[in-house]
Amino acid sequence: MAGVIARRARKQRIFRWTVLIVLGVFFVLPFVAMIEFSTRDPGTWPLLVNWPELSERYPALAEGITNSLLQAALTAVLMLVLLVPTAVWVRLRLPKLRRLVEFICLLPLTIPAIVLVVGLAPVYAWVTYFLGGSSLTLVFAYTVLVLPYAYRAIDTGLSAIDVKTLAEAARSLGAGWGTVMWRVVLPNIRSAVLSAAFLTVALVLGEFTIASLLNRTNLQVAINFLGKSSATMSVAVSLTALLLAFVLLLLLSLLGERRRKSLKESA
Amino acid sequence: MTGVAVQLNGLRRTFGTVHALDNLDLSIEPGEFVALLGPSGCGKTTALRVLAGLEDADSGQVLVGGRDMTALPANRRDMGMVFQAYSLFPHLTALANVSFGLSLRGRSKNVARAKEMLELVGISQFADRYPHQLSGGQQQRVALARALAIEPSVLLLDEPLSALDAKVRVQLRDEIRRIQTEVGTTTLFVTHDQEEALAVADRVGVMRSGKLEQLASPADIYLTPATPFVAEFVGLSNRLPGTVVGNEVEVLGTRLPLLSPASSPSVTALVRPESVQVTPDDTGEGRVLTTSFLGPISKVTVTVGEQLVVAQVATDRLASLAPGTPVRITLQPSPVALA
Repeated sequence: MAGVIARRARKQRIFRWTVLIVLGVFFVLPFVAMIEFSTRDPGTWPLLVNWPELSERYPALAEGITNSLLQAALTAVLMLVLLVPTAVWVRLRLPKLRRLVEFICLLPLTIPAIVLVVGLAPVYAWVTYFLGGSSLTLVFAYTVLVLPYAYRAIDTGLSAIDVKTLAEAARSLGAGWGTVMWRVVLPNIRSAVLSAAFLTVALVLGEFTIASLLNRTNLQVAINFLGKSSATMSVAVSLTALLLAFVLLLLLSLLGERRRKSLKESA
Repeated sequence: MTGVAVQLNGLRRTFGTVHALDNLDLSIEPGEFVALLGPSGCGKTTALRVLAGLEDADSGQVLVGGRDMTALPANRRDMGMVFQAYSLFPHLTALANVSFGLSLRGRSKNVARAKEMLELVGISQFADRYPHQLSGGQQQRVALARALAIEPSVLLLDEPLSALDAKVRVQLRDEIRRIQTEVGTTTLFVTHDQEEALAVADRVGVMRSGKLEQLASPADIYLTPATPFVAEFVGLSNRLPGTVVGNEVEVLGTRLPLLSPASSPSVTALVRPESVQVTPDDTGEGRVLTTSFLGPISKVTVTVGEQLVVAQVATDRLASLAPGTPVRITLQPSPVALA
């Protein structure tokens, strides 16, 4: 009997390791290939950290990087300014609308990017007419695009606190709505807000379809363009962008860990 | 500091088809401690929230110190409130919670005042702790300190003790009364616990379906209930059949004075357990059914024919009242209400 159990345990262990190794190779191999390929030309990586020279030799790439960073920052800000007060207000005053708001916020997830662009194109004709063709105008489309992730993150944060009672307590102490938001709600959903912001940044930095089809420049469009002339450089930049997103997501899970721990303490 | 008068005039509030407040009038004297008591859904919390400005009334008027507050938002009403749910700001220490309201008013010496308040509620040693490091009772003490720190014109307590365990509840209840007497703030206390209301308030208002059934001193509420509902809701009552004779009612062979005139000759009288005396008697027509030990006072349930009668007896008499003992029942001739 003991022998059967030991044999089964060994079998399971072997199976587990096999799966892990196969998956590991599957995921790591492309990275290794990218590193190997991007280091064939020893000048590639040093150039990547030398901004003045990079922007001189690859102006389109430099523009893509700046655009993407600005887009990410602006989208995060716009998303927070729109979403946090809305989510709080829905919880406080319109709890019946919660399902509807959630549904609307999740919609972009169910609509393929290409369909989204078809819809956005006429809208952007007007945007271009009023605001010009700057790549930063993509921020509006991106704010819609990140809604599903950001809404989820913020809603989870709000679920963890009793917003209604906290807001009422602050109101009765003399706080106006601005103070309630800034000094009571925001500090208590800080990690949720950070999660939403990180997800937004990661998503915007990786966006290609909408930017490309609306004829705007961002990092991914620039990488794609660069791939046609300087393959090593484009792979190196892709890898950097990937690593950046990876670091952001790591920070995110660390934040979640800390929140779980502090919740456990308070329980 | 002396309190201000509070007046609620003809408040109405409906939620769908439910009348949470049905033309409610209530006036509270300056510095008075009034408790609103009633079953859940009777509108007591709505009344308090309308006074606080957290809920709008459909019609009616809220006057505080003679000033019409009806249209003023909650943050400009100058009222301190303690909630049923724990409401301390989780990201702030006890001290920072207490000074929150003070900092909004831009007062100097915030911290000194906040410390003073924590001392008043007896937990100055926990000033640097965060809410999650405090027990429920301690959190409600901080909440009380926070509400009082802004020197509110009215203190509102929305079932602040109902989440606490029994011992802490009694302790904090007495503490709230002591502090209220000390600072003299006009206070409205909402509760569904009759013992709590009777123990702390100057006057108790019993509410039912959005209306005030009776507003009187705890003794009056208990001894001379204005309506059958008040008699039944406050304290436990026996419902005993009786026959009206003039302005008295005969119940189990004893004539009892009536609190209000009867409309029909055969009635149901509401008799309090402490008015029922039980004596062992072999010729008595009652039989002890059960006894329950409740400390210095115990409860005895007796059957008289088909009728169940609950009586309160001193616990040392319990030995002579074992279940099955034949007993005689007499009633004290205190005034009774009719159901």
